[in-house]
Amino acid sequence: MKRELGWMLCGTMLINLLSGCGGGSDAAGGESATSGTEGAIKIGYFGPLTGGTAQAGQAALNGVQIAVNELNESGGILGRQVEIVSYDDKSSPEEAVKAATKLVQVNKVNAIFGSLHSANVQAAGPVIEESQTLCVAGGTSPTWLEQGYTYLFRSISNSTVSAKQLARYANDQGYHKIALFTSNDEYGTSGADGFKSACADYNIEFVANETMTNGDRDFTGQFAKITAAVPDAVFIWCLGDDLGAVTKQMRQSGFSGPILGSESYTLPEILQNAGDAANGVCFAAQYLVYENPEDAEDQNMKTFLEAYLEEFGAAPASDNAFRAYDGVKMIAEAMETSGVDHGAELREAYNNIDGYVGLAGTFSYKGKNGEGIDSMRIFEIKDGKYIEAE
Amino acid sequence: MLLQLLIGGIAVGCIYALIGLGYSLIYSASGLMSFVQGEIFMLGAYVAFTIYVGLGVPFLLAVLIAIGIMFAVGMLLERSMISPLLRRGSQQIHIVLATIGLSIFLKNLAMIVWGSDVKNFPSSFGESPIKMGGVSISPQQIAIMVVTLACMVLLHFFMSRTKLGTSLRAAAQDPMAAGVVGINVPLTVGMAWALAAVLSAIAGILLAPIYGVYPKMGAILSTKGFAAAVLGGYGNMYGAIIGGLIFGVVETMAAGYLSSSFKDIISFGVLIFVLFVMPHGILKVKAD
Repeated sequence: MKRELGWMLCGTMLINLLSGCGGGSDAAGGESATSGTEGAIKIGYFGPLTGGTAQAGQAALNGVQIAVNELNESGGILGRQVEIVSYDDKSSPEEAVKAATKLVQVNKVNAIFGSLHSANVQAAGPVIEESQTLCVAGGTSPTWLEQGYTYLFRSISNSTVSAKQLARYANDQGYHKIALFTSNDEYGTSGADGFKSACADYNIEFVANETMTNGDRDFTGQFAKITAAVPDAVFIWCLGDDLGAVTKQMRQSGFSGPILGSESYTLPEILQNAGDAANGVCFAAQYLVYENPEDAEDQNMKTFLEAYLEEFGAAPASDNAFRAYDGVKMIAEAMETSGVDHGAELREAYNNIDGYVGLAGTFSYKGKNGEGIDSMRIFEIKDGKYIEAE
Repeated sequence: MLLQLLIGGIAVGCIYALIGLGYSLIYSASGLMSFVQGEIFMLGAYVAFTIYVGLGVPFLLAVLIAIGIMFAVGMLLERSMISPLLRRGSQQIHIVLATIGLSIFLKNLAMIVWGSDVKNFPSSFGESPIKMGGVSISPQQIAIMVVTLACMVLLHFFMSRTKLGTSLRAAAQDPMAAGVVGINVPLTVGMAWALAAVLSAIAGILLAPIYGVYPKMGAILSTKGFAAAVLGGYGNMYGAIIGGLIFGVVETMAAGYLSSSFKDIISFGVLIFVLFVMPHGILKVKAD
């Protein structure tokens, strides 16, 4: 028996070891670098192209592609054609550092859009800063812009804006007992902290504070605690790939009240996965992910969606397409106004952007430490559809 | 809340027990360890999803077809991979490695075939929870408990009352003697692998409406099912059931009363403790 136990131990160790490698090599490193044409402007991209958030990452890369197509059709930037160099960061900070290092040292790109995950942007920050490469990212945690980096910018508002908006909404609706359920990573922790500090001005009490690990699917214990606390509303702040299962189980555990959620609820995939469970979710977001260009009220959005549909045959799977598109267009804008394609002057020109109208609204960066926009709308999911809340 | 946690824990534990049973069946029939159970679990969910949602076959029929397919997959796995390896003189560790390799292969294959996004598997028992007193139970949880119980009872009778079950136990105890008295040993061993695959697949189908179906769904479950089997006494059917239930309840209680961050620390801590005190697990191996 001793011998057998030894084998078991061996087996478990091996399986951990191998599944670790397995996860990392789900798809061999996604380099799809196009060979460098002399004189072309290179826009780097790093983001998740495999793994749980691959759809969001692919949507972002597609957004970059649409922006680049548009730029090239109208003569490129500074009269030079634009090309994309993209790497897969597999939603992991280690991979993000590798990808960013390759972009700035090997490919020597002019500017970068990436990543979508705040933890990844934070990890890649030092490499990017040191190389003086302008980098616009789509992660919404406020943390990475509070580190003093000067070359990092955000093309969407940060999560404290949506937390503030949600806190005000909760107060208006008369929710005084709120339970928190967040992922225990950078995204969830900063989301919860932002919401808690935004609620400090109101008469709101937190009756439960539960967390989950990204990828876990058993929340029985946490949800029992939350339902036992009988909250007026539950605040859920998790990444998109978990939200469907989380929302569904939240409802199955017997909570039928309102859910205040993260902007990841804009993913149409969640509506589909959570089904009726998603009804009653409210969230603050810049934009919705429209299936049909006709549904968009904004002309810029309509044009973008039509181009996207024509190029990729389907609507974007995530709002990250919009973040990426705005980011790349503003990089181009900064290059055109400054007349340079890299370095401190380009960074200065980007920082001077004031009143640029993108898909998310009006961007103004000056004096905001890399933040460009701070307005959002509140949406509600009702009968499986998004509607703008009063 | 205690009752709520207890019921939730038992439901989760049932799933661990089903997967743990698979590990134990394989071990008791062939003395081998398979680490592909988690991926069989995932595959079962995908096959049922494809037949039920993709082809629109009625739920029960779809489940029966899926179970049939997974039975064949388990049999094929033993016939085409494990037994040729054994014939060529592979040792236990080679088999373990082969099954780990297969599990990575299947995970990536699923990503290519079905994509890496989460598929929604609608519950055929309704989504709205049933409230009894202060406790709310989802219909799916009830289904999990009922089906697991049925599987266990059926398996018990199969093993103790049928000719095939008896020959399976005989082949496990002494393959040579079993062969001498006319038992088709290769068939019974293949049968054990097939049954293990069926149990994992049933667990996958039961859990799919709660977890959603995605390529990595088996990764966590396989470790917990394995832990359940070890806790109960590796190779002992009843041990796997007890181990699974204990594991599920301890884990859920830890998440409910302490903190969800301690969930895995405590449940695996209990596993290490039990093994330390009782190296054979709770029930001794080959109690039957």
